[in-house]
Amino acid sequence: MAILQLIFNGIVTGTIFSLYAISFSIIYGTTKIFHFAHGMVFTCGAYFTYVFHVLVGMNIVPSILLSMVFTSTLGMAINFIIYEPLQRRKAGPLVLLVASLGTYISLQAIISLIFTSNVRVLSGGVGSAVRVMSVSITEIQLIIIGTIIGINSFLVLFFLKTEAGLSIRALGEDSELAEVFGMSPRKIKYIIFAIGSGLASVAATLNALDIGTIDPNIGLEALLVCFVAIVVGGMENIPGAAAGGFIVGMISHLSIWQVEARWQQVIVYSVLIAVLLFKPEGLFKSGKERI
Amino acid sequence: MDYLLYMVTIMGIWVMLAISMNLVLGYAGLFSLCQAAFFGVGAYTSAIMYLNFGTNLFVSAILGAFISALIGVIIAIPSLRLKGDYFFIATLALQIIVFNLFLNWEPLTKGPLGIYGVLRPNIFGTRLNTNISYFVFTLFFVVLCYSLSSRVCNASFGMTLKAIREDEIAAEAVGKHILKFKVLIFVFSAIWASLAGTLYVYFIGAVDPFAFELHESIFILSIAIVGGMGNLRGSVLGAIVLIAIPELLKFAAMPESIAHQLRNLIYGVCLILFMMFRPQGLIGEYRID
Repeated sequence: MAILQLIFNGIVTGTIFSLYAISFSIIYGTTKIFHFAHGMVFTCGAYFTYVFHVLVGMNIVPSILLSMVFTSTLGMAINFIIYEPLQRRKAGPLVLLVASLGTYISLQAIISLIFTSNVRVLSGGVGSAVRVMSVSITEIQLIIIGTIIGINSFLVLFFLKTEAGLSIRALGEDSELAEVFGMSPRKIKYIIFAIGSGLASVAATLNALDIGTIDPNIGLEALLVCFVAIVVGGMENIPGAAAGGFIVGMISHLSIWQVEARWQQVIVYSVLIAVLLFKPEGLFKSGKERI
Repeated sequence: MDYLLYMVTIMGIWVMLAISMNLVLGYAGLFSLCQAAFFGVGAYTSAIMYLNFGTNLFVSAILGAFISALIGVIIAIPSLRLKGDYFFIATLALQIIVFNLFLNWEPLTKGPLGIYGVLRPNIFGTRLNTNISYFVFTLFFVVLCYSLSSRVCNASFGMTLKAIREDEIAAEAVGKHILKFKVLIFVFSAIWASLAGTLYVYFIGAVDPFAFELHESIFILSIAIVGGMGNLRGSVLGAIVLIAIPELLKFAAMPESIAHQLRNLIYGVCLILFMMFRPQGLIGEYRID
């Protein structure tokens, strides 16, 4: 009955990956910036939690909340230092992408210089595990699923019901029109970077707690998941990206059923190439009327 | 002196890689992040063919180039049909897949240990054992790469590419088959990257997967960007500058791991500063957009 265990692990990873994808897609879908540096936002999010939880010795929940604040600030700082000055100079998307890559490399070098490239342990403590029909379920996995379902429902309400959420969507649809209606695109962009980066911090931390360790490369893996998710789920479509992320998580665990774990990445990216070949618009039609 | 010859040979190989990036990004305006994958395909094909079948350098080079070109076509056609960032994502996916194949396909690639024992080639009966002879050999290919690329870029093919880069719809309106041009330049660049890989493995004598990671693609991108887009001399200059500067770090005695990260920090900051203040690079003709 190993398959049941794989399915359950796939669900856990899938929910984490869907949050990865949402955090990237919120920024990409509304600002149209291909935010490669988001990879390091993931990494820094996990390292902030590591600093507060392991080095300072705080409890895990306040550590995560503080990490969210710091990571949101980091995201806004990247917008302030890198993207805004470039956009003021009317830089095109390629220039923004190259600068974003440069930011990614620089931040990764800085993290590696401070913490070295070695693996660090970040675990939520050894929780009790229950067995349901021969599937072993740990406490932390249940917390992960619960937290992310909570966050996702909150996001849906936020984007559908609140004024701030509607403004953000309006900016994504048509920034000039949004400006005509008296919104400040500049301010909204900062809100978007704060939300996307805060979510990235939670997602990266939860994944670290599930796996037990962090290193400076975890952000790249998360970022690549985002790319596959937005291709599979349809570009600029946040629920599509979330579903795409979930599918990637499921596939990467289910593939272990048939092939060795080291081929996971090859399988996931082959799925991406296959989607590009046969269904380039993504598996779900881009539902513009829904967020 | 021998060390200097070693360094200029390395520079020559990276000039070829930078030119291959420049062809795609500088002339066609396409953002590829898989030049290191093609570089690796060339290197691994040559190493595997040499050790298993004893084939000579030219046969391996052609085979590697053929495989790279084939992969290039498979990636380029579907992703270039689509607008926006699909091509970038597809090249990134290819980069990850190829690296993982090098790392995990152990019967063929020996996994993380890599392949050792590739001897210097025999050219017209002389073995290129000295660094000076191998440098001359490499220089021949660099000049070949440079002159062929500049011919292609200045011929009507290159002009059409520039036209597509500046205004795709106008180019299509005058009857240019845009997809065909883009795929061709991508394949052309893949072939040069692969040849650079062949030269590299015969020079070093060994390959391991970590030489062809994503970071290597980003490094090649940095060389092309710093040197300048749409100008092949820029790629030569970029390779000299970006390989020489980190070498100087070696004289400041510091542990290899710190030096490595400092190097990455330099490349990263270079990319940001050039985008801010000089997006056309040191001597580039084209400002990427």
